[in-house]
Formats: sequence, C-alpha cells, structure tokens
Amino acid sequence: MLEARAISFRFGASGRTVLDDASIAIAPGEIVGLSGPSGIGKSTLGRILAQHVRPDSGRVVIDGRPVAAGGFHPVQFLAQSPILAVNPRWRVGRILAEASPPDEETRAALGIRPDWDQRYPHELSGGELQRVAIARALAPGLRYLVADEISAMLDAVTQVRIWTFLRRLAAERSIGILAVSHDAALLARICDRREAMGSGRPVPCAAEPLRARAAS
Amino acid sequence: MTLAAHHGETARRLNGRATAAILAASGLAIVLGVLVAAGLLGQTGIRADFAARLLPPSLAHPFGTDPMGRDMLARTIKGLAVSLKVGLLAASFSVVIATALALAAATLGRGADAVVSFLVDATMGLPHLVLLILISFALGGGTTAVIIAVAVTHWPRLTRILRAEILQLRHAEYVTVSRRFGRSWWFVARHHFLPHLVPQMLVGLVLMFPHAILHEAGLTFLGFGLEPSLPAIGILLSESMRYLTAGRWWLGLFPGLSLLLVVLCFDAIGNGLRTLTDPRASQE
Repeated sequence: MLEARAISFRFGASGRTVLDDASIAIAPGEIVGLSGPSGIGKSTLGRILAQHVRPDSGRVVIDGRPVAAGGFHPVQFLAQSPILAVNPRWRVGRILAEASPPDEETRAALGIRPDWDQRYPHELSGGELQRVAIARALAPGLRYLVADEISAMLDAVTQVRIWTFLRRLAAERSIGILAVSHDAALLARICDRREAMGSGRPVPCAAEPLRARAAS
Repeated sequence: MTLAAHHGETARRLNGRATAAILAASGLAIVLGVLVAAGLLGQTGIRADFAARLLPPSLAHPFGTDPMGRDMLARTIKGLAVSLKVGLLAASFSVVIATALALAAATLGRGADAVVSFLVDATMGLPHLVLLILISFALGGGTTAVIIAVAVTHWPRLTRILRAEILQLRHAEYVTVSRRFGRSWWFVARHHFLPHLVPQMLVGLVLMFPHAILHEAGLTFLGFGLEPSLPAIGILLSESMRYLTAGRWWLGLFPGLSLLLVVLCFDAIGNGLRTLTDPRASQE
C-alpha cells in the first residue's frame, strides 16, 4: 500500500498553501483516479508521492515504511509532456534503457518500433514519446505509477491503447496506479476508485465509477 | 515544381550538417597544415642574411624579409605553430579545470559549491597580469611556464558560466527522473550534464584561445615568457612596431593577418562542432 500521510505543501516561504493535511492511499493493482480543477495541487501531490518534490510536512510510506534513498524508486512519475522528461541529446534507445532495457513484449504492447531507437526525442510525436516514457518507467522494481494527465494531449486511439496496456499492467504485475486527469469520462472508465481534490486535500468522489457499477 | 525536380535540388544542395562538417574540417586542416609546415621548415627563417634586409614582398619572399634578412613567411608559419601550441594547450587546460570545478560545485553539495565559488571570486579578484608574471617567473619562464600560467589564471569566467548552466540543468525533469531511476550524481554529471556543456566548452575554448596567445605575447614582451629566439606571433608583432612608421608594413600585416586567419579557423571549428553536437540540427 502506497500512502501519503498528512502532506502539506506551499510554494516558497510565503506562497499559497497548495496541499493542507492531504492523505491518499493506493493499493497494489488498484487504479485510483484523482480529479479537480487546474492549479489545485493534483500534480504536486503526484510528484510528492514519487518524491520528485519534498513536502513541507507529512510522510510518504510504502507498506508503512519510508522508501530507502538511492536505487530505483518503486514509485515512478509520468508527466503530461514527456519531452521535458527525456534528455534531448540522448537517442530513444538509450532513453529506454536508462533504468533497465524494456523487454520485447512491453515494446510490442506499446507499439515502440525498433527504428525509433536511433532517433532523437524531438523526432517522435507526443504520443510516441509518451509510450517511450511509459516503457522506460516499467523497470523490474516498479510498484506504483503516478500518471499525470498522460493521455490529455493524445488522440483517442492512442489514449485507448495506452490505458488498455496500463490496465493490464495493473492486473498482471499488481502495480498501483494514480491516474490524475480532468477528464471525468476517462477516469470513470479506467478507475477502481475516484477521489477529487478540494481545498488542499483529496476527498472520495461521491459518484461511483462506471466500472464498479458495471461489475455489480 | 514536380516531386522529382524537388528531390534533385535537395540532393544537389548540401545539408546543414555536411556544411558544418566541411567548414570545421577545413579549419582543422589549415591549423594542422600550419603545424606540419612549421615542423618541415627546420632552420629556415632562423638564420640571418644581411644581404637581404627588409625586402618588400616578392616572389622569392612572399611575406618580405625582416631587419636581419630572415624570410617572414617562414617566421610567420613558425610563429603561428608556437602560438597555436601555447594557446591551444593553455586554453584546453583551462577548459578542463573549469569543467571539473563546475561539475564538482554542482554535484558534490553545498560545501563544494561554496569552495568553488570562493576560488572563482578570489582568482578573479586578483589582477591577473600580476598573477601571470608571478607564476611564469616562479616556474622559471619558457613555454611550459607560460602554458601553466595562462591555464591557471583563465578558468574562473568559464567556471561561472558552466556552473550556472549545470545549476539550471539540475532541476530539469529528466535529471530528477534519472535520480529516481537510482542513478548517481556521478552518472548524471557524466551522461546528462557533460554532453550538454560541450557547446559552452567549445565556445569557451575558442574565446580563450586568442586571449591565451595575447598573454603569451605580453609575458614574452615583459621578459617572463618564451625565449626571444622563438618566433612567436606576439614577438613578431612587437618587433614590427618599430618598423611600421618607416613604411615596412609587411612586417606587421602578414603575421597579423595570419593570426586572424587562425582565429577564424577556430571559429569555424567551434561553430561546426556546435552544429554537429546539437541534436536539433540532425535534420538540417
């Protein structure tokens, strides 16, 4: 279980408080949706979970213990624009192998063609690069993924392809996923459980996800 | 325009990378040519011939002769070779020092950063001609002393630039991602920072090179530098000063122009390498 406990965060010493006593929990294999208006702190909470950002107070724990420093971090963060998350001077083949080279099955499932390996990031489209960024994060040590609006700028076909893959990943490798999105319809389709950000902390969503309703 | 015609035109025209590579290669060829020619010349241009004093440019002496009857073309080529060696070595050592200190400052923590910043400020606070003279004098003069003196006084400015560049890069998303993949700062420094710094390093080298040659000339002029028997460009230029007013223009013009040509070659090499190392230029 990945948990954020009583997280507070503000930008700068006198900045606006973005997160105030925020807590969220994600179980292995569970897909949790997080929605809310722009600028309310969804991405910040995601970055804190993956320890890209240090909170002012509060703790992030996995199975009750803090994550050890150094080594592959079990929580990986996927950003909305993958172009900033890859070194522009590296070729795609090297980018893919930075944590550990993805296996053929993963490459095939995400449609990553072998000839991309010789290209630079700016020579791929946004959707293609997003699939590269996902494949790169799926190293053996991965246990949780924070997907921050990863499909917001992609066409419908690519969106379906990515989320079908991630749903299967969650089920097969029991990887917990926090899906951050504005898109209520998308979250309703893919999530087991939904939370909405409001006044500094996530609160469980009143509306039951479509998936759960369909299953019952 | 038909597709075939368009294709023919693009095939005839060289792309940006090829042009850059050709320019850089020609610059390098000229620089290497000067070094090789100077090696082949041997004693020519050192021996005096008082029957041929101060001759203007002619077919026998394209650059004229100096007050001791030595061929100026041979002396200019030898001078360029000496200046190139000194300038290149001094500037390269400086760039290596600057890169190592900047990487240390940015990756080894606040303590290392404070030490490097202090060293930069301290070195820049001292008048560097005095420092140059002291170091060169302490090392007993000569080519090695000049190279060391110029190298250890010229790294601070580039260190500042590189350090600022890395500090910006430290907060890049892909650096954070690399760290969360379990990569060490040492790995990040070598594989993420260093390739990014190459263009700055090349520009630093190109800008430092003429500076190094001028300091070499200055030190030599003051008597703390190279042996006066070496025909460095700086020595040739200062020697020519006395004769320019007497109308012996070739003594200053040709060594000066050749120095300009070498600096332009470095510019071409620097620009070419920058284009070739920039991934965004891969399709130009």
